Amino acid sequence: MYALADCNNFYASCERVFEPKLEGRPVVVLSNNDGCVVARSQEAKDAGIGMGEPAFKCRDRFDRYQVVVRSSNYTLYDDMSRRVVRSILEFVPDVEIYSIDEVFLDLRPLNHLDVESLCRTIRNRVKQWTGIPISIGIASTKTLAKLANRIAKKDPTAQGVFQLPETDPDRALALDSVDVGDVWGVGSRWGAKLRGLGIRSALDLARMPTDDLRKRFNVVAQRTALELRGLVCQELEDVAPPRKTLVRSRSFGDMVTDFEQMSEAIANHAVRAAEKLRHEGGTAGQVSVFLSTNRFRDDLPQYHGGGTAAFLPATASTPIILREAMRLTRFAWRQGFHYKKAGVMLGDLSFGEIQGGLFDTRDHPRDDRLMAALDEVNRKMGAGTLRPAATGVTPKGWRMKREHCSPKYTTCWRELPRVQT
Amino acid sequence: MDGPILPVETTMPSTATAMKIVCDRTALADAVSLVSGVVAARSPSPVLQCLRITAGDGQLRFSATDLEIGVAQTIDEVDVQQEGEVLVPADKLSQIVKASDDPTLTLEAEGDRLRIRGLGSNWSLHGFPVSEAPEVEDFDESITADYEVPAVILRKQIQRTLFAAANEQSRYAINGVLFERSGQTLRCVATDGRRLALSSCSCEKTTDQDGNTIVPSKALQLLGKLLDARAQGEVRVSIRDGRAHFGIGHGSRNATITSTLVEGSFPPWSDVVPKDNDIHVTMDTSSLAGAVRRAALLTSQESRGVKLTFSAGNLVITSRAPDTGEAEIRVDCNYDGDELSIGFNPGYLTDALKIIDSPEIILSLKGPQKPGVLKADGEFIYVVMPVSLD
Repeated sequence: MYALADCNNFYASCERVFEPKLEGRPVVVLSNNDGCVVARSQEAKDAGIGMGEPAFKCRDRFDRYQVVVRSSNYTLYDDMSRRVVRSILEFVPDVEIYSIDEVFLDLRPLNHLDVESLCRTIRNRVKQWTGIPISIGIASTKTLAKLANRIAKKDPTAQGVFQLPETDPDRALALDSVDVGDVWGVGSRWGAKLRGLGIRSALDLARMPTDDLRKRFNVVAQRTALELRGLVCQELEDVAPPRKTLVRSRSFGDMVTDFEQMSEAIANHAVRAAEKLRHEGGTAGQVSVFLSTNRFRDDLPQYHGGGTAAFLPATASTPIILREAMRLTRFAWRQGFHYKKAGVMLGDLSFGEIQGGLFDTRDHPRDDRLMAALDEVNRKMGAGTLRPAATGVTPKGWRMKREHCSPKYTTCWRELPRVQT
Repeated sequence: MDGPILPVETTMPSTATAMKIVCDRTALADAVSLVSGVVAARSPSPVLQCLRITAGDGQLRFSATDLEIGVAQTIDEVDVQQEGEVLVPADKLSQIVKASDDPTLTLEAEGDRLRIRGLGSNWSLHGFPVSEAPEVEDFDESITADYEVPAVILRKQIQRTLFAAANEQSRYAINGVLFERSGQTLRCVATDGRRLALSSCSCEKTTDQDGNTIVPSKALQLLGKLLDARAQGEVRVSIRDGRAHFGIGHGSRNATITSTLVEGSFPPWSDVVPKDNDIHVTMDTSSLAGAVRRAALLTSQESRGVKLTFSAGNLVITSRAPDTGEAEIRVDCNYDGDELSIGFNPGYLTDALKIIDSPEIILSLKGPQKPGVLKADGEFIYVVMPVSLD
């Protein structure tokens, strides 16, 4: 048996944990630069606020329904996500962290237990320990667990936990209640194509000849249908596959027109990317820089530029990555444009293996010691305490707009919640 | 040489043709295939995707260029009935000549068109005015060779170094092979920054001017193919006006490759050839190559290295692909020191081992973080940086 634990309205729930007065009120969380709605509490959904709607189009509804608006606070959400996972690990040792708010559980070693009761205990304990409400779907495959989770959320009688029946007619009835477009891995484009073929529900898809599915779609569709029949095609990925690239990019709060600001923005991305790569124990064989104007502004001239440089041997050293990123920025920069976005991508990543370079004259042990000291200072005294001057000193307009951001309640000493008596 | 020709309806005018030849198809196919190698699959100018055919003096000359590299080759397996020239797309001509199964083909040019006739086949190929074709120089009497190398030796030099040249951009000029000529010694060196191949040979000096030039990889690939087909006689080499000229053969069976040179500085290669490696292991070349290949079967994108562990009389090569499994391959060797482990990219080892034709090689080492050196027959040195497997 597998289970999928999914945090309910995760970002909005995180905001409510430290502001209990938000309970019962509509809450929305906006994307970077406070652009679009990316998370909604149930009350906000009921108020007709759509997922992905631009914030400026929702102003009237925000006022009418007294919606609480928050800028996205990923530092808080990441930390709360880790706390949810740690709570689940107290009960189930084998899990796959599928996304920031979803975790697959391998219940096969626990099949001798009443897994539904176990999952209810997990649900209650996660709520008690972290304040985050979760729903859990239980079934024999990951695709079915995802489907069961959907029912757990939608059906009030399930009270947050739903175990998919293993035999018909109950199993068929459950599958028939789910639209084919809502099946994990199907999506809107395939959903429309399948409906055109008369496949309307998850049950129809499970009954479709799988060879036919492979011919008309691909092996992923075939695998989805087999999983809906209860055949395990996707095992738990308890160790995340090593990443191939590491990207740091953001849209600017205000459009950037001068080189100094662009250079600062890219330096910040490069420094953060190098820091994250070291944290993950990797090295990069390449760095790419990209910058672009706003493609939605037809009234302004458009430009997308960038470049890539290689490292030999691969490195995670901030000064080396930063130096190349700055060189590429000078190469890609064109004066006279209004830039909206820029970023840095580290590629050709390796973890654990480093190919030596014949013409490399760097003192690697010294570099490593320097980076370890840098990371330690920033870990103890706060991110960015020690950083290259190229990242800038005073806040500039390129920084992200976050006008409604909540404090980093759990990761920053200065922003801890205060209790007054 | 002219075979029977079936009457075929054609739209070509019946006026006198500007060129007419009958050619042995195999010789034609070989020449077209070789010269077409310089033509880029995509080019901004259609003329640069063409092959120029010139019939005259009882021979047929094929030439093509991408403006960086020019190739010209003549063949004499031809009956020139009327001299002339034509410029036609290289890929179509190559496909037609390969697809035909006739022993001879008749080529007739009329204006910008080329008509190709076999026993029961008739193709009419649209070309371009010959005047639009860039000139490709021949290595004729007007060019003085700086030095000469036997074709079979130069072919070996290219085989032993070209594979190690870089494919990607680098701060150094390493997208080619360094030809370093000093008196009667020619050293060819190639590196991609991770490994370095060095092959030395004697050359016949014809001028006193020593020099270093970096020849682009593409030019040497073409030269290698040409020498595979014509590994006889001497290759004349001349460096002048910022170009390298290679002349093969004489008279009616000659070929020329000219190329721009790679600009920039080749890295200080002699600095990275270790002089103090004091562990020397002699091994059977094919045994080691086979063992590395077998161990490499269980490497992956994330775990690319193989580990070589030497102990008395024994080498064990191990690999590990986290999702698939592990491999352990044993090879006999004459090592008699303390246990020593070093990691290498298996591809870098097999690249070198497959071009070494001597039965034994010597692997010289210093330590796990220091470069390893493969040596064969006193003329080939291959330096390869280890992979840190921690």
